Formats: sequence, C-alpha cells, structure tokens
Amino acid sequence: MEGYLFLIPLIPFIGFLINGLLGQKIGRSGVYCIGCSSIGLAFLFSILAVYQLACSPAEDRLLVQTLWSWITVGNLNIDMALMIDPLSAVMILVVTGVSFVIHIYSIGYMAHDESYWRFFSYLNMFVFFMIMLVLGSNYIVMFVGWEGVGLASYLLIGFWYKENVNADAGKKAFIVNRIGDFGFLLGMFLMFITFGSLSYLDVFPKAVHMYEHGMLAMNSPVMIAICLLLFLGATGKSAQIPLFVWLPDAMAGPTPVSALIHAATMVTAGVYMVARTNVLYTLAPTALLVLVLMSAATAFIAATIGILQNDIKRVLAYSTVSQLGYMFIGVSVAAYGAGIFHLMTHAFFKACLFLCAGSVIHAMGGDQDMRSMGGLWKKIPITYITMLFATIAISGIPPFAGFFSKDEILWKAFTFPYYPVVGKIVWFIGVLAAGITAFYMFRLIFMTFHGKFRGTEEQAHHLHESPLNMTGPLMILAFGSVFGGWLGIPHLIGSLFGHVPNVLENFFEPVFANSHEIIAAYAGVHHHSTVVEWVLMAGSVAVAIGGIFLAYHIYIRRVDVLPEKLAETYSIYHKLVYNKYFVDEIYYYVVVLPFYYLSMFFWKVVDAFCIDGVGVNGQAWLVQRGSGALRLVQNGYVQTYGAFMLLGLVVMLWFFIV
Amino acid sequence: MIDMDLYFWVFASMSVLAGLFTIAARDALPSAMGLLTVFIALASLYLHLHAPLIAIFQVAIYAGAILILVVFVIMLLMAPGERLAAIQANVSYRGAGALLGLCLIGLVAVGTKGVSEIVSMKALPEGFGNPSMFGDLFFRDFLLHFEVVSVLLLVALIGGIYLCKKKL
Amino acid sequence: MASLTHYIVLSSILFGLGTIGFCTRRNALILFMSIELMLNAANLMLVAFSNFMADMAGQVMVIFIFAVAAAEVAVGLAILIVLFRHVREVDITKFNVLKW
Repeated sequence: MEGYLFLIPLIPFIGFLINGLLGQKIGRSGVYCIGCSSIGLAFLFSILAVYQLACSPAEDRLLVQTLWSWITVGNLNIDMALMIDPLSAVMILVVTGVSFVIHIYSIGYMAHDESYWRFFSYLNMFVFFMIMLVLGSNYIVMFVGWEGVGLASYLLIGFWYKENVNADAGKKAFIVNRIGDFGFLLGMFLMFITFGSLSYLDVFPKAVHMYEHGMLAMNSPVMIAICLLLFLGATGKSAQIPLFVWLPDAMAGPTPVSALIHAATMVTAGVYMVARTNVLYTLAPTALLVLVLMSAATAFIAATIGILQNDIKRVLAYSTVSQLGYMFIGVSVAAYGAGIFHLMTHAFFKACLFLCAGSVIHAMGGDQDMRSMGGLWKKIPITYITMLFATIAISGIPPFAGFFSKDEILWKAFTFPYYPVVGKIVWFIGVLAAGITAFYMFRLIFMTFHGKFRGTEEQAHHLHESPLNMTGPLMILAFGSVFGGWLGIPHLIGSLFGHVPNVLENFFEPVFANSHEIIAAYAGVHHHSTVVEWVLMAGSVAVAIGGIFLAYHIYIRRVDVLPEKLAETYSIYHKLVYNKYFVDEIYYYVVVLPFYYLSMFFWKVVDAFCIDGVGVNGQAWLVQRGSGALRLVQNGYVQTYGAFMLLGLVVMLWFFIV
Repeated sequence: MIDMDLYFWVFASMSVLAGLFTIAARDALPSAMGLLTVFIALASLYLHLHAPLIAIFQVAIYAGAILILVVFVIMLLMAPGERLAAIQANVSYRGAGALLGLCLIGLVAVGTKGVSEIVSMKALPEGFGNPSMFGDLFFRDFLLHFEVVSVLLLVALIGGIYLCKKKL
Repeated sequence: MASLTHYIVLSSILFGLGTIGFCTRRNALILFMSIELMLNAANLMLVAFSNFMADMAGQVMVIFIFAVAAAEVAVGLAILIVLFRHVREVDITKFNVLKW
C-alpha cells in the first residue's frame, strides 16, 4: 500500500515546473491556485500515509517505496527510494501542513509584487526538496534534498536580487551551508566505509548487530568521527555555532520565506538528521557530549543577542537559532523524540510569529524597526492576539505548546544517562535561556503593540489589519501553538488527568527503540523521583514568568527611562551584545580575508602569470623566437641550399657506411 | 705491375686532373675546355667497359651538343677579360659545402673497401653493349621509359623557346 | 684489370669534385659545368656496374640520363639568359632575392 508515496514529492515538483515555466502566462490566480493546491494535495497524501502508519501495530510502522535503482558502482548500490516511518511521518505532516498555510499567506503578502510567479515556483521547489530530504530512505536521497533546500533558500533569500544586500545575504547563506555540507559528505563517506551501505534500513540494524556482537565498541573513534562530521553539516544547515551567521542575514528575504524556511522546515533538517541517525549517536557518547555543549552554548548566546536587536525579524531570527539550540539539546541528550516534539511545536509558534511580524510590517508599510512601532494592538487586533498566543507558547507557559516540548527537553537534559553532571549544567543553562527567551519575546510584544506609537504620521494613517488570506493562516498556526503541545503530554501530568497517553512518544516508539535499549543496557535504567520533576517544572515556569515580568517592568512601566539608563550603565556589555559579539567581524578577518588573499594569489600568480603567461603565451613566444631564428637559414643563395643537401647526403651515407 | 690496367689508370688520372681544372679555373672558357677533356676521358673508359654505344653518345651529346651550348652562352654573356671579384658573399656555407664534398669522397672511398670481393665479374654475353641489344631493350622492356623521355625532350624544347621570346 | 672498387672510387672523386665546384664557385656557368661533372660521375658508376654485373639495364639508364641532362642544360641556360637580360650579372651571389 505504499505505491502513492512518490506522489508526495512529485506533485509539488510539477507545481514548481508549471509555475516556473508557464507562470507568467497563467496569470495571478492560476499561479496561486497551482502553488497552493499542489502543497494541499501533498498534505492530503501525507495524512493518508500517517493514517496508514497509525493504524498499524508498532513494529509494522514502515512504508518503503523503491522508485528505481540509481547508482550501481562496485559495492555502492543506491536506490531512489522513499520511506515513511513515524519520524518522517511527523516531519512530513509538519512540512506540508505549515507550507500549505504559508502558501495561502503568501497570496496576500505578495499581492503587489510583480515576480509572484517566481516566488511560488521557488516555494514549490523548496517543498519538493524538503519532502525528498525527509522521505528519503538513504543518506544520498537525503543529501539531494539537503542541497536542494539550500539552493531554494539561496534563491528565496535573494528573491529581491536587485538590491545588493539581498543577493549578498543569499550568497552568505549558501556558502556557509556548503562548509557544513563538506562535513556531511565526509561523514557519509566514513559511514559507507564502515557499514558498506548508506541506506537507513541497512546501516542501523547493522550497527546494532555489530555492537551487540562485540565488533563495534561503545564510543569507538569511527563512530565519533561519523557523528561529529554529520553534526558539522547540521551546524551549517540548522544554524548552530559556528555556522549560524547566515540566519540573521537571511531575514533579507520575504517574510513567508523566513517563516517557512528559516523557522519551520529547512533549519530543522539538521535535527531530523540527528534524530534519524539516533543509533549511531547513541553508540558515540563523546559525540553527544560535544553536541550538547555546543547546542547549549548556541541556545544561550543567541538568546542574549536577541534581547537588544531592534529589527523585529532579527529578534525572531536569533530566537530561531536559540530554539534550534534547544532542539539540538533534546537530540543530544539521547531524547530524540523530545527534540522532534519541540521541532513540531516550534514550527507552529515560530511560523506564526514570523507571519505575524510580516503582517505588522505590512501594516507599517515596510518598516521593520521596532523603535518606530508601539500601541498597535488597537489597530491590528487579530495579528496582536495571534502573536500574543505564539509568544506565550514560545515562553513556555503551560498549557500552551512550547511548555510541554521545552520542559520535556529540560527534564531529559537533567537526566542525561551518559553524563549526568553535564546534564544538570545543561539544564541550568537551558532554564536561563528560557528566561531570556521569555524576556526578549515579551519585549518584542511590548515594544510593538503597547505604549505610544512612535512612527511617522503617514505610517499612522497607513495602519490597517491584513486581509483574510493573511490572518487566516495566523489563526490556524496560533491554534497549533495553543493546542499542539497536547500531543506529547508527559506521564507526570497525564497521570493527573487519568492515564492521558503521551501520543507522540508512543508513535515514535519503533524508531528510537534500538537507541533506548542500548542506553538502558549501557547506563542502566534510573528511576527519577517525581518530586524532583515537579520542582524542576515549576522552576522553569517561574523563570519564564520572571522574564515576562522583567520585560514588563523595563518596557512598559519605566519605558521612558530604564532602557537608556541600563544601556549607559552596562555600556561595554551593551555594545558587545548589540554587535552580536562581533562574530561576523571575527569571521571576516580570520576566515574570509585569508581566503581572499589566497585566491588573489592563485589568480594573479598561478593562473595569470604561470599558466597563462609562461605556459600558454610562453609557448607561443618560444615558437615565435625559434622560428624567427631558424628562418634566417633561408638566405637566398643557391649554394647554401646545395651545402645543406650535401650535409644530408653525408649524414645518411655516414649511417650506412660507418 | 704489368697486370695493372694501364688503360684505366691513364684515362682515370686524365679525368681527375681535368675535373680539378674545371672547378678551379679562373675564367669560364678554360673551365669548359677542362670539361671537354673530362668527357673524352670518360668516353674512353666507357669503351673499356664494353659500352661502345654509350661512348659514342657521350661524345656526340655531351661534348658535341651540351658543351657547345655552354660555350655559346659563355661567349654570349661574358665579355672577355671580365673577371669576377674575389670571394665575398656567403663564405661560411660555401666553405662548409666544399668541406662536405671532401667528406663525401672520403666516405665512399672508405666504404667501398670490400666490394670487389663480393661482386666478381660475370661472363658477358655475346654482343654486350651493341646497338642491337639497346634496340631490344628500348622497344620491349623499357618502352614506356623511352616514350616518357621523348615527351620530356619535347617539353624542354617548348620551354626553351618560350623562355627566350622577346614578345609572347 | 681494374676492379669495381677502382671505378667506384673514381666516380666518387669526380662527384666530389663536382659538389665542391658547385658549392664554391660564383660564376653561374661554371656552376652548370660542375653539375654536368656530377652527372657524368653517376654515368660512369652505372656503366661500371653494368659491366661487372652483366646487366644491360645500367647502360639503358645512362641513355636516359643523357636525355635528361640535355633537357636540363637547355632549359637552365635559357633561364640564365633571361635572368641576365634583367640583372646583367652572372655572379650567382647577386641572385639572393628569393628568401625570407
């Protein structure tokens, strides 16, 4: 019953082709219709697939469709094959569902843009590649999707390419991504050498088999190497330290792009990849240690940068980096399901936040600076309410979605089986970052929607609520932000209400079963006291509420005085954080300039001088000089020619006679 | 010493000395006389080599036609008493050519050391070198060559006439 | 009886003298005469071999060489006369225009 799987990526691909090649001919409504319906159809097919999976018992939750045999070289056999198991099922629902909603939003957002057809075709192309990434049944198909979404991201960030800034941002995204892909490729090569295959259905059972029969030790260097190299790819795609610098610049693209690609789907590809590779990561605790430290650092540092940004989209961008850090904390404490859960809830509330920001920018006539906003809640109420819901969700206040997923991650970090002490430190950093998140998100709300309007007169006249095709998606996503977390209610709370199951955890069970077994066998099963769990949960909520209150205090009650006074008192820290810790400048001087000089050397010296000058032109010069010298033999005297003929004769006779 | 082929040695040395005179003479006319002597010496040697027809042709064609033509042209082109100035142009290549000519002589002389042991004289058939044998060969085995050479002579004739016309 | 070797050496001496004369002299007519000397040396060699190998083909070839030499001298001297009409010189070192 898996014959229809290929339709899920195919339909958006056809939409991409039609919109791209014929977009200008079929007119606005045609492009909108094809763009949205292709994703809608893909969404319906995904629902069908997930329904099929849900109906099957836990062991049978797997659908594989092999389309054709792609590469057969020696020992390397790679098929173009699609696979749905619970992990990719959740991913595909998130991808197609959120994409569909955002496509509808884009109808309203791009209503005045003349290149609308290009936009929709690129969006469809992106969804096609993202589906390939998620549905692939081997690492090569995933990599095809990986590269493809990078391409779509480049094209969409630089959508308004006539401005240099946008084109540069697109280039930066693609190049930084490429650096990560290098690590990904090396990881794949190493994996192929170790396991002889790149298909999920071959590698993971083989790894478990090798471990159980002693052929592969726990924490072996090759496993650590594979995992860390794959993670390097994930840092590029999912904007972790050290390769996160492209994401804030990527806000140069249209807001639907930021919502779809840089919040909900593309940047989560790294998390998906780690969750997919869970067996190998479980077998390499050192790699998990590196991951957890780096992702905790990312979550914290990005949150601190977010508290001082003034561009509404930049705040959300740093917030995305920080939340991605949370997701990575989830998967790096071997709580793969928790990481994917947070991915899902984050897709809802972050997409909602970005689309609301787009609505605000639309109302402000294109201005993105929060310093010229204020008191907008009366003018754009629907946007305000949906954004408020999404912000409460991201701050982790129960019973909204963000609370459940974030709290599960923090609890799993606290009880990290491999390195308990590190786990507790990571928990602490995570709670701090949660507080800071609540602070800057509510700062955003207060600066944008409350207080006095600080913009110009004509902006005040222009303020209006967005049309239904923009507010409709907002409402849908806000609904998801509020109720989406109820799919993963932890046992602690569920038992209070009488055996409410953790739906998501049960659904994911077959995918992560091997990892859980290995961890249980290696680190033992610990029973943690429920009291500790309640206390920690209450603590994180309290910190979040404290952050909200701090934001209220600074930006509502004492908004005229306190922000400037604080900036003056802590001016050094203020400058450091405001300039994003000078990361871009450091990269420029340490990485970009040396490469620039190296390329200049290769161009001017090696290419222009050595190869062109000496090699090519030099040969010509040599021939010219040589022939110029040789032609002087023809001096017009018959006797010279006779002498040469005689020379030839004597030489020949010499060889015959002597 | 009596066995020595006196005939050969006389005419051989005559031809060599005459050749030297030909190439070394100051004026053109003495050089032509030297060449005549070479022709006659060679004709005698042909007689000694059982080639009477060749000998006659040598005298008739070479000495009697070609040399006459050369002497005509000498008298046409060069005023008496006119001498060319001393050696000037292109000395290096000309000197190299002369040296190479000497090398050539030396090479061949050294190279043909043992030829006579390998090639011993065969018995000559009756009438070897007679005109009748020539007739046989020309009009049977070498007919094509004969015709082609006659065409060649025709071409030379036409060429000579064409080249020297004042107006075409 | 002079053996073949004697005739070969004699022929080569005459040929060498011819080439030396060709390469050394500046008078065009003496050049022609050196060329004739070379041709005659070749003739001598052919007749000698014909005699010692009892093969008439050598002598037949000599007849052809006579014809060719006659044609060559005729045409060559005609060219020389035409040249002389223009240049008024028989010094071949003055004929060096056909060069690079």
